[in-house]
Amino acid sequence: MAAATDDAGDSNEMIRVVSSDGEHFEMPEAAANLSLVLRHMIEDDCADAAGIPLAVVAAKPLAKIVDYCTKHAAKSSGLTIEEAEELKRFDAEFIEVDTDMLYDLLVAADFMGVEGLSKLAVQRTADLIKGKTPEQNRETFGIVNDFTPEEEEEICKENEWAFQITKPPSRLC
Amino acid sequence: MASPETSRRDEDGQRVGQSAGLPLDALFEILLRLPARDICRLRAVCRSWRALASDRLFIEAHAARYPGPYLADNGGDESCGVNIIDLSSGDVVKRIHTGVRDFRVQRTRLDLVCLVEAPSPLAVTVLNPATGATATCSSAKRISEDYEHLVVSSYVTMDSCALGKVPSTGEYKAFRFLQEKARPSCPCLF
Repeated sequence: MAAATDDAGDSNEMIRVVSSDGEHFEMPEAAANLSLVLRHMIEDDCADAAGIPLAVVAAKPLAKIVDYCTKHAAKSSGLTIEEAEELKRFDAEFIEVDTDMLYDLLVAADFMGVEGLSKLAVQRTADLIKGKTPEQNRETFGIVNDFTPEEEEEICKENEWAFQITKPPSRLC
Repeated sequence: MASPETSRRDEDGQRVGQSAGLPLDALFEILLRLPARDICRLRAVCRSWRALASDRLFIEAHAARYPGPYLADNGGDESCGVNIIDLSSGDVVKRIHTGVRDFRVQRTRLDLVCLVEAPSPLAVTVLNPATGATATCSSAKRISEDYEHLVVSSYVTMDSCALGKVPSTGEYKAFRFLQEKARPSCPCLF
């Protein structure tokens, strides 16, 4: 099923993809085109009935990505204000996920080249980090503190001003 | 290629490996969206986060994203720090340790900060606020011969200084306005 046509974006062809753990998914070609990797595969006639294998994307994040691309492809051009608002709400709900899924989405969106989703996941992660102490960030992201107590003290001293979070930021008179 | 699922956790369920599982380019993008205060705090999270948050390329990219305008001042105490203040909000967005004591911020020019009066009364230290790198010129090797005796006599103090760049060579030059005790100011170039 060669899908390479001049007006690929308007095609109703369904594109099949296979997750790293062997699950099959389908999405409209316009949705698959939001992924740079899938678009190149489609252009190179690699999208066949067996599906495009995605070696580093597991079924759980892939299901989310198919969902994201399908929604965004359906609303890609000529958005009314209401539709744009709705898409924003969709994004906000879509990215309300735990850190494990957020990691998977970051990795998968990066690998598949889904720009909009990458930005969304990056912003969400930045929002999670913002305003937190190092210890809170370690907890959120399950990171092991690999500094010695002396090193940690030194870093805190070097960046002392940044740790004065209880104090309101200094202001010009 | 190992899947992210399997490579990310060790037996205790703790994340291991580079950037705690986050792709480095994604972490780069994430940190670019954070204010300087958060970036400095992140240096204390773990080694890989510190490496990125202190990386020269990252700091330059971060500085390019938040173009100011900024004001530099010398912290208001005897410390070695320069405060970079965001003029639109009045917040101190960054504090840079210079290793230079008892200086006075003379001026900012060409995205550099000129510090004077340390380590010697005639020294000019140029600080790059994006990288934290400093260059001190304390010698007066190329001082005009007419005024050499002033430096030797050590009866001069720094009145002011100006910083410029020679467009053709990319070379930076500082003008020091030295004041001879009990005499009017005379300019010396080095």
